[in-house]
This record gives sequence, C-alpha cells and structure tokens, in this order.
Amino acid sequence: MRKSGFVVRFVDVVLILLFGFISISSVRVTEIDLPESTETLAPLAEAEEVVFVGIRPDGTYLVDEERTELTGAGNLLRFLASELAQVGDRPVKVRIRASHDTPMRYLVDAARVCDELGVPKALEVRMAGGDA
Amino acid sequence: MANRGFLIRFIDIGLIVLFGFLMISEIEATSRVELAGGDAEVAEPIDLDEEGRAFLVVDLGPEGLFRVTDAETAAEGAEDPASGASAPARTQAELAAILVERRQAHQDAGLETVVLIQPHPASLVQLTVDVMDVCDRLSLQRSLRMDIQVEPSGGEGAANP
Repeated sequence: MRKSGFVVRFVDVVLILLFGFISISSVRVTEIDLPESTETLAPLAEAEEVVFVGIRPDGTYLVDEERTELTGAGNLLRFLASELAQVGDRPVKVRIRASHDTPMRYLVDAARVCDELGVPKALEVRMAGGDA
Repeated sequence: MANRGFLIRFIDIGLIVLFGFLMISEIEATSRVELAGGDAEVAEPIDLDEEGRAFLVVDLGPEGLFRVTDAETAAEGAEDPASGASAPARTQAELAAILVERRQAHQDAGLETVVLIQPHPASLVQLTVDVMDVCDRLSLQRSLRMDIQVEPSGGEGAANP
C-alpha cells in the first residue's frame, strides 16, 4: 500500500512537471530567424504594450503574431497607426524582429515608420547560447 | 499487481511525453537593442559636436566587409573621402583589432572614442549586430546611424492576411 502511494505521487509529480512545462512554454511557430548577439544583456521587463513587427529577408513585414503579411512601409504605417488607435493612452513600444539576413534598408524603413508615429522601437536579437 | 503495472506504464508514458516535449521545443532567449529616435530616454542620440570625443565610422558594405574611417580625417581629405579608412575587415576579430588600435591613438591624444555604425542599405542586419557586439565587448560607445539613404523598396501592395 505504501509503495502504491509512492508511485501515485510520482505520477502526480511527472504530470505536474509536464503540464507546467506545457503551460509556461510559448509554442510559437515563427519564420523569423533572429540575428544573434553575444554581448546584449538580458532585457528588463517592459511596462509598455509591445507590438511585434517581423521582417522577412525579402522585406515583407509580418504583424499580428505573424498572421498578416504587409508589403511596403506605407502599409506598415497604416497598420501601426490603427494599433496605436486601439491601444489608446497606454504607452506602446514596437519590437522589430528582423531576420538575421534581412537587408538593413527594411529595418531602417520600419524604424522610420516608428519615428513618424513617435513610437519607441527596439531590435530583437537572440542571445548567443540561448538555444536549448 | 495489475494496477501497479498500469501505473508504471502511465509513468513511462508521462516521462516520454515530457522529455519528448522538452526535445522538440525551442527555448529561445531573446533580448533587445534599443534604437535611437522616438524615445530619448532609452537611446539618446550622440552629440557629434561634443569636444573630447573622436568619432570612428564603421561602414558596413553590402559584401559583408567592415571599413573603419576616422571621421575627422575623412572630412579633412575632401578629395578622397576614403582617406583614413582602414583596410577592410572581414571578421569581428579583425574589426576589433582595428578599433583597439584606433582607440589607443585616441586615448594617447586624450580623446574618447565613439563608434558610428553606418550600414549600407543592402548589408545584413546580423552584420550590424556583430559590430554592436564588438563595440560592447571593447566598451566603446556606439551609435547606429539610421539616417542612411534608402531607395524606395518594394511595392505598396495590399495586406495579405
């Protein structure tokens, strides 16, 4: 009986680990392969609302959790403007997720759009050794 | 007895699913590089006219080469804008060696070195991040020039959901 109780608890522990891991991990399929940085420090928590903008190597922008594809800075501007309007008074920040092999011109275009809207922006990088 | 066998199998399945999930999941640690403009608090633009500072321009070519130019020297050599430019560096180590050498010269003159990263529109984002890493490793102040000339790229097509 004691042995059986031990086994049942062991099962509980394994299941808790399993479901805990499933719940905390963000299962996000992304086609953006971020540039790798060896020196960038771990980020501080952000209080702002973050809008992610992915940039493919061919210059297309991926927004709305990479579900929507935009071509051209004009469309990106319109999308971000509508996002800002939805968010209202809360502070917003744009996180640019450019693929490592994206030409800089597209990153600059996205940065200009953010400047035009007066939104702070940051480039997301993968920390070296961050892969499991 | 049969009940115990069932439990052990259940544990096996649980462990297999757990480790299988661990194996296939990609845990990616990300960080961010704040870009100047829009939010002066996080990335204050560097004052190019401040005294006591010497500026090194690191040009990133579309072919993946780094060229270091002493900003002042380049400005003085009006006939040859590339005067004062280093031999192109191909790797981060070569770039670091050039920057260390230039920084030493600046330190001897009592100047603080500031690196201006000037990417070519066709250069890859990874190269810019590489230069930032080199600067951070050498504790050099750096600024990414986002005012590079960019020709209109791509059409203004409709959004594709």
